[in-house]
Amino acid sequence: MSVGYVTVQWTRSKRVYDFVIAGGVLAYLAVFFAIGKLTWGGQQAISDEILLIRALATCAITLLHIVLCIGPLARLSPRFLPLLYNRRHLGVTTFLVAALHGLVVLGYYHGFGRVNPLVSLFTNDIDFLVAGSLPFQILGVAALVILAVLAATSHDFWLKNLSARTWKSIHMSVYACYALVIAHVAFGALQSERSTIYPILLAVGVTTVTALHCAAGLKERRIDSRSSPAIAWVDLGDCREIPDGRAKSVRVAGQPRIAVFRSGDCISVVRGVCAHQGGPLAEGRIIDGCITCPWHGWQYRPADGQSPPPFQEKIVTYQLHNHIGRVMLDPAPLPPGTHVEPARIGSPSDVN
Amino acid sequence: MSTDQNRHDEFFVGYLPTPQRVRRFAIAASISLVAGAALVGIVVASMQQSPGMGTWDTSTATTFDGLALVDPYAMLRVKDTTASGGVSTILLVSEGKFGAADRIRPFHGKAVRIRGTILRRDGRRMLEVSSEDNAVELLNPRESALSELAPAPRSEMESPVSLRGEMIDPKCYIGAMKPGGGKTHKACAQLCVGGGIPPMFVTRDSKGRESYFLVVLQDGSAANEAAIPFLGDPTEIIGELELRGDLNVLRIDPKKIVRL
Amino acid sequence: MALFILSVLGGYLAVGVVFGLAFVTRGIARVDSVAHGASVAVRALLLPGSVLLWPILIRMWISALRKSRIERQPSL
Repeated sequence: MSVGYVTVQWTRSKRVYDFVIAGGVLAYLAVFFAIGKLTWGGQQAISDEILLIRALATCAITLLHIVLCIGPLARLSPRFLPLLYNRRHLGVTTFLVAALHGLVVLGYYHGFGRVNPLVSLFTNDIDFLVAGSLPFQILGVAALVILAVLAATSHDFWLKNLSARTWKSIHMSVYACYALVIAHVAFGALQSERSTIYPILLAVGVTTVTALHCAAGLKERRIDSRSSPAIAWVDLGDCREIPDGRAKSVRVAGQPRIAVFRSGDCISVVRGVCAHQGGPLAEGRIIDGCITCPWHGWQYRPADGQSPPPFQEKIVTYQLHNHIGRVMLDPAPLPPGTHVEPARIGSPSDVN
Repeated sequence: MSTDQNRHDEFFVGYLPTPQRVRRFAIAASISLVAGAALVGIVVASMQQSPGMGTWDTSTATTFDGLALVDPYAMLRVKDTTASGGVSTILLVSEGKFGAADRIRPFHGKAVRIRGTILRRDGRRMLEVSSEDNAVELLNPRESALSELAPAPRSEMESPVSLRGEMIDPKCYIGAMKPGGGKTHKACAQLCVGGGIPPMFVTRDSKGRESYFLVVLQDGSAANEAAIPFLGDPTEIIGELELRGDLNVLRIDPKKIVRL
Repeated sequence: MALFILSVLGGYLAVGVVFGLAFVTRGIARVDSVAHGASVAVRALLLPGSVLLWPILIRMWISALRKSRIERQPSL
């Protein structure tokens, strides 16, 4: 919902969210550093720079896991939506922490030498035939580049101007980044450290991320499987069972999800995909007379799918027909923002 | 009924006041995430392996008198009553990731006084020569008993050996970086050895005790370029072991190095 | 090889910086009317993305310019 761009549309929730991120990151780094100092001291002390490199690396990878888990968790239970609401700040923080890790590595391991640190970064480790000497730094650089693009395009300006679809596909590359990070660790630190706890931790992380995505995917598929064929009119069933101010999701073959909203005794039908980031509108509510997306609170009027002025977003609406107490839907989408008179449940007359 | 309805209608919208139950769950979830992350940090940090007993006192400069040599690597032979033969060898390196051969070459075979900072690990010593102009000074030969310090005969004992271990850059390994070996340090080791720091091979016995071997080519010359590809990797080397005074020298044939 | 990669990356970013500065100062309002009169802070925040995505943005800017020219000359 944009009338003019601001750096961040601050709300109390976002401030609290950012405070938790900043506090959490600083606490993590402090705890890691302190434990590292306590574990090996005196002559066996680990260099401060290396402790810092490790603290930043493990912090970034932990953040990345949290970022990746929030999405499926919110799909599985709406109670996690507050964590999803400002996830982009978590993503930007992940990039900043990872970038700091990269900078310290660049200066410490690749600096002070006979060649430019950047040249050293791209020169070393080029024996592709031996697993132990695979170029893990390059994998890390590639992952960092992806994180940089994602962080740089996190503002709503990019979402709007690159189109929600392009933006979403760019941001799906976070999974490529994740794979690169896992390989970076597997061919890097895990080749040096002997403790088995590290591969175990990494495996737990990968399993958690994968399992949550599979669970969320299965849930989506269950919802989608109840689809009606795209014949002339689709019976929406008994709409009186929809609680007031809420929606049910309807699937018509070959169409994106459709959200059937009830407001009082009025039924309105819109495409169930938010114009902002593709949030599931059918899981939203009607607040102040407007359909409100569960992800970031973007709003649309039920009757015409338009955001209330001064906002300009529009979503697709559908033609309705009230047939002897049942609401029938024409599955052909109307142009976004088309006004459709809501169907009244309980009154048998045609509404068009 | 109405409370049940309220529970269902508690719906989080970022820019509206957060409902009580939603807030409570979000707080609990945030606390568990931060605590979980801290737990990961504690486990990862406490399971790090020891980087070894290396030290590098960069705050105090030390001065050594001895015989300077650059063949095959820059080193200083100094009197040492604790060493066998009364002489011990200190490898010389420069600041950063550079060897000291160019700096020491004009003093080759001469008695010198060198100032720098000392790195040590397991009885092996290395001196980072200070970058100041007067850090290496020629000594009046009469001040030192040169003959005592003359290099040991080229081979007291030569035997073919097969060793398993890691090719290292000794500056970092002995104490400049802790840990200064392994895969994550590989790029740094390549810069160090490429910059002229003498390559060494380290082996570890079943009790974890480490032995260091100075690596040279078959003809006894510097092996920097030959060693670079194998730094940081576990390798097996077939070579000849030569004891030169207090130095274990390993003569290698680059073709007979195998990655494990 | 390393030098080749670095010069390609460096060249890409150098063009990106020049383009990005022009884009955040002049281009964004052309491409997106909502960005008209955006604050300096917003423009600074959009700079990294403009530097990285310049090949896409250059096309968007050109098509926005073309569209506005057509609108100004409806008789043609």
